[in-house]
Amino acid sequence: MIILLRHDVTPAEVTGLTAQIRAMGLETVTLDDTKGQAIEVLGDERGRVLALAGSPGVEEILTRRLPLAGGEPLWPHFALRVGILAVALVSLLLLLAGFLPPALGDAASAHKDAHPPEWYLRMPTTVLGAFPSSLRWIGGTLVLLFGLAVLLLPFIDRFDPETPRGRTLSRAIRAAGLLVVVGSVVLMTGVLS
Amino acid sequence: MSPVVTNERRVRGARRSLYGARSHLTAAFARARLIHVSPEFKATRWLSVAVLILLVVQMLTGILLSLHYYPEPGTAYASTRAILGEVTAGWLVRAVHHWAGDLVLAAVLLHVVVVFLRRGYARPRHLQWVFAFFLLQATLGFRFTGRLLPWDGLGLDASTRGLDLLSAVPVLGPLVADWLRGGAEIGPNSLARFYTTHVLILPWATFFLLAIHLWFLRRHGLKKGGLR
Repeated sequence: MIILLRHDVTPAEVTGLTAQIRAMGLETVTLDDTKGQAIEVLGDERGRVLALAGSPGVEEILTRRLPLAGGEPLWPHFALRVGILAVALVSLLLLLAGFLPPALGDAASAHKDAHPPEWYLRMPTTVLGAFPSSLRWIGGTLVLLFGLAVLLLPFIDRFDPETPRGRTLSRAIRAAGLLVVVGSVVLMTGVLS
Repeated sequence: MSPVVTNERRVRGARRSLYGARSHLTAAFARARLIHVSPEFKATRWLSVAVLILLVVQMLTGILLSLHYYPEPGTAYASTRAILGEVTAGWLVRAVHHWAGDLVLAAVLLHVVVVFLRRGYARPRHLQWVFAFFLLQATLGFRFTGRLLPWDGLGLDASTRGLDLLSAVPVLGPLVADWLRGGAEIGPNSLARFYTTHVLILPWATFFLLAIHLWFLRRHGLKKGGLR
């Protein structure tokens, strides 16, 4: 949390505020780039820090939870990077759109054009295609179980990573997942079809 | 007699003088300087920003396309052809919309894989993962429902395959597939339902899912450390 100080705050008021915060058992950090106009309070003590609103020298209390130390300012550093990424992505899109525009087939009423499945459907299509039509439900059930396993992953992998056994089991789950990811990517690229 | 100064104006004035700013806008920028991004925000975390940027591109190009597209079997194909041939830069907007759909899906999938390998799904971020899962489904839904809209043979084939696939998934699959198809075969009802899902249901669902996902992110912050 950040306490913004009034522009006419006196050194005595700053010292008093800092002492008050430290008396609560909290640490404070003075922010260099604010020319002594703000104090950061470390820790998540929203209720107690908000009680300082209205104290001498306090202009406003910012209750956001993002940390200050170590990260870069939202403006202009981070905003500039986001802008550069946006320009890069739009340029990539324009290049793809210019050189590889999507095809438009014949009118749907004429006929269906035979076409390989879309890349994102190749994994489930391959799983279902591995079973004869009478046993297709098994493939469908496998796809459903995979989806449920992904959705409920946090409730499946509840192992404590601080213990050797928990770490091993958690890593085993992620190694298995990584195999599925690699397999899916291979199927998506269509190299096997 | 001095003019009446409301408390709100006094507060605004104090905030301006606090930052030494001449206007509220420069005061807002000065305030943004105080807000720092988490030091954990680096490398693969930019995938999430890429997803947000691509979603904005999708929204803007989607709005432009909807100005010239008619979602009825008799006019859908003709209006798509008109977008490609008659509307100024229409082919470019459609192509960008198409590729942004692919890229956003790829970026979301990659983001999910990275979070999975980081074990970012563990408590207390478990609900964030659950909402991300539904966001992934919504992104897949966008790509899938958008494919039928040009009402061409390619889209019809892709949609038929997709609905067959969905029907094979027990319990929810047949229900969703039958609702989207709107009849025994893909027809006028299907086009209307695909369109409504694409431009109304999924955008709102994505908005709310994203808002909840980001709310959880703000609450719990980014997970520290790399792949462990």
